[in-house]
Amino acid sequence: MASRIDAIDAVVVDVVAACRAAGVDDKACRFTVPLVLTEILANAIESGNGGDATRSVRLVVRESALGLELEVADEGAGFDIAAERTTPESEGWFEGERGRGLFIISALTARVESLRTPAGGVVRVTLKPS
Amino acid sequence: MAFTLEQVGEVLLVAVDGQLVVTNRQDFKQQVIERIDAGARKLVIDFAHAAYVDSSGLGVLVSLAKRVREAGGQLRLSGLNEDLRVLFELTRLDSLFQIVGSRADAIASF
Repeated sequence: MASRIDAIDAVVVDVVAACRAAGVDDKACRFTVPLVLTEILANAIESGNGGDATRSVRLVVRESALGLELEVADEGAGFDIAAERTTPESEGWFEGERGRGLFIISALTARVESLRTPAGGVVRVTLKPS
Repeated sequence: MAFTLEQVGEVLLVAVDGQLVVTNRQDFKQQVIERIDAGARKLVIDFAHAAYVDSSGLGVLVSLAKRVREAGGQLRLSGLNEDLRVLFELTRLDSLFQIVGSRADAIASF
């Protein structure tokens, strides 16, 4: 997909429709999938690709033995989840506009992985079983 | 995905339709700030027709709450569905906002 923030909504609509067609449970379709997908796409576009629209973002949605997986790859350097993740105990949590995305993803899903590959950064999220 | 701003007596009612996320947060923030700067001091942001809010949307709400507070006003949230209530609880942002059940109750609470 295009590495642009304004491209996110259409992709989310398509993925949610595919999830509904595949029988993914209603709560995941109406809330968890669109929310988490929006978070990881925005992270890939803004942080991974640094807002460079000439870079690419690749999205894979798959059913694994563990559950529904959302995987987003960008052309950035990847990141360390433990180093980047803030919590409600972090300084500025109740004041700043940014920095809550990773916490939300972690709280709503079963697993979040951040991988560094030769092609760029990859974030893989596994949803909780329904 | 849209939002509407409506003056109900002294209260500015902002209704979110669909979602408040990274793709519409700037427009949302700008329009509400313009109304605060123009004198709005009693604000209700209603989510009765909203499905989800991402971290960017939450960030804008935090920012607007601060702006309203500094202007001597009050901001209340209404109409949160169960998913959104849980999101505010998980992030503990429910402690930052006055969350009221319905938009009518929120408007009447000022």
